[in-house]
Amino acid sequence: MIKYELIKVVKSPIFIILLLFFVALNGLIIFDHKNERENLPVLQNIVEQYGTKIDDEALAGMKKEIDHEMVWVNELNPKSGKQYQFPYEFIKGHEAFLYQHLTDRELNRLFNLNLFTQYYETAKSVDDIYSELDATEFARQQIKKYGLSGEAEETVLNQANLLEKRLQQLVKNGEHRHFFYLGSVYEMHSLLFKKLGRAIAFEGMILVVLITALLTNYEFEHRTFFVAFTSKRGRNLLWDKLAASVIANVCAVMLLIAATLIIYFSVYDYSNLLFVPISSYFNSETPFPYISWWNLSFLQYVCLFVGCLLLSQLLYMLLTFSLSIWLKNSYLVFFTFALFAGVSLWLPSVVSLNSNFILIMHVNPFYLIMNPHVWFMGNNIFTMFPYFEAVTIAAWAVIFILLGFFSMYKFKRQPLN
Amino acid sequence: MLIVDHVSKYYGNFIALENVHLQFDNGIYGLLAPNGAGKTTLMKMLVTLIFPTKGEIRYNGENIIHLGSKYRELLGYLPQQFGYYKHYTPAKYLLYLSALKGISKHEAKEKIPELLKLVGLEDVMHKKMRKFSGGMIQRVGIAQALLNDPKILILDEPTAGLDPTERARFRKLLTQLANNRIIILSTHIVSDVESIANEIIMIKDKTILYKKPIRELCQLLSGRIYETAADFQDAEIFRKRFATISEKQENGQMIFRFVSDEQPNENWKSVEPTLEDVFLHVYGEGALA
Repeated sequence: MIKYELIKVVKSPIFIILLLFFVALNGLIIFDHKNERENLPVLQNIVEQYGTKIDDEALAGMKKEIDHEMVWVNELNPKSGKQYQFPYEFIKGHEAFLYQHLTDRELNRLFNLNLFTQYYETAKSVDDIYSELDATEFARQQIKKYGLSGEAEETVLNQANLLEKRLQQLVKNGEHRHFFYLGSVYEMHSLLFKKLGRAIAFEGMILVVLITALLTNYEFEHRTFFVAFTSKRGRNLLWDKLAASVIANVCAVMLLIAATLIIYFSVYDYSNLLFVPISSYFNSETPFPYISWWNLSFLQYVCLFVGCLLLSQLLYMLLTFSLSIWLKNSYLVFFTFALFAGVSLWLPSVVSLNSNFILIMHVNPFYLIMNPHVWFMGNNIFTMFPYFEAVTIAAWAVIFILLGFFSMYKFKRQPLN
Repeated sequence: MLIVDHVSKYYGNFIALENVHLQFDNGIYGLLAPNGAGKTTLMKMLVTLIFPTKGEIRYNGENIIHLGSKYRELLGYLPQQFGYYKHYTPAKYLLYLSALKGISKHEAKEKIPELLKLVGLEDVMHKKMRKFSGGMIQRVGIAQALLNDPKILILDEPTAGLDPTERARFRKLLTQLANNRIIILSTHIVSDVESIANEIIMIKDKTILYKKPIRELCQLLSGRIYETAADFQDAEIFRKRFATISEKQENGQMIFRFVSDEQPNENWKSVEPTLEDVFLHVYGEGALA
């Protein structure tokens, strides 16, 4: 029966069109800032030559390379009579000269050297930065920013202590001492996990709600339920529809994720960076760097991210399934789902900021996808719990599964007119 | 044996059916009542789409709700509003319904062409149903009801949309099938059941008024049906004076049939009552005494 249900999805061109549209949209997001990231290969050269780990040997080698290149830089304008140690010193004093006298190739070489130096300088300063990092202070700033107080403030500060311990472990592991694309310049983490992650999550949600509502309501919308639910399979047909929904939704969401990631990784080369810890200082985009709760490589983080995205979509599927059983109309289901999502996102904004209830209100499947770039990290005070994502997904999975069983129980006893 | 045991169905304060008690053995049963009398409600309870508020329906002694799929696999059902997938062909749609009915693909592929031939749709079995007429769709509905060779065949207004030839063919088909199964056929068209039903069930005032063979039903009006002819100009006067149950034009005159306990005029001849007389009398003038 599942096969027949799946055919109904495949034969609906709207899903194929939507999927292609979403992939194209994500492609636009990926290509949108490509020009600003044209110097990314500089890091690939560094990693190829010195590896991803920042150690004394790598720093010495880089310094040697800079010194060697500075000989060439200092010869570019002998009339100036000055000797520069670093390319940015030269660039700063020669803005007009650069564009009047240097060839494109020379300019490119100079700017790449400047970027190389930036990586070197950053790498050199990593330990100093981390020795001054204070998770509690970060939490206090965030508490002040969002106006938390009382019980909620206390809980966040307790979590900040945990984060502090994790920070110490991170430093001990040397997770921060790895080369990665400079977050402060390129914001690659935000591009991939926030912009694209959020886009995929919302696009997936639309697909999932439409697919699940279509399948579950199909017999009601075609008036075939008289025949379908009086057959031997009867009302258990809805279980087949649920199984077909799982398969169709997993396929649709995975296709969306896979197509987006394929485009992303074809445009931006991560080949040498897959095993760099996600908590590398280079990845940080704000004064307080990304700190994952566990030592995760970029690749592991991407896998967890995909898993979390997929599971969140399955939660939406379960909710849609139950709504469809009660409402029996795809349009109604879509708008009720949107209303449910809107209320879930709005409720935390009206809850008192001095009780733990404000934190509990954030444990909802819709808030979950608002900040996918800080999944498994302690960078958001409302989600500053090591198992926030797992707890949110597990708790709502239980709620939605129970709701699904209850809906089926009622459906089996419901008059079908 | 299928027993509807003192079943009532309420929708809030609205009574759809009250204390219905029926027993069905193999044979054809015509459920005859005007629209809105509760035929479809009874049909829907028999196919487990809705459930009785009071009483229960048993098949071979077991409640059909408890029997679940064991009961439904014996069912063939043609609903009043037969839904279909417009972008499917009859063959493909029947294949899908076969799967729902637990029929193997191999068996279904053999059976579907036979059934579509039986209902006269063999030429269009691979054409999408989007452009099918109401009668063609109804025939697809009849074919699907027969897919699993049902022991209980429930047909709600099966002849709606069928032309006279198709109706005749349908009646013949039902007669062939009636040998070893229960066929319950609801209709408000007397001719659909007149020649084929073993028993007629009449619903009035939300409950069963009669469940009798046609002959016995007609006997209820035996000697009380009169027929006479009148000129067109007298027709209106006639209508006002007598409770006519039917009238027709014949040879430039009006022929009236009516019920009367006594012969109003010796020129008026007493005629044999028909099922239509019973139907029109019951639903036109109130229940028989």
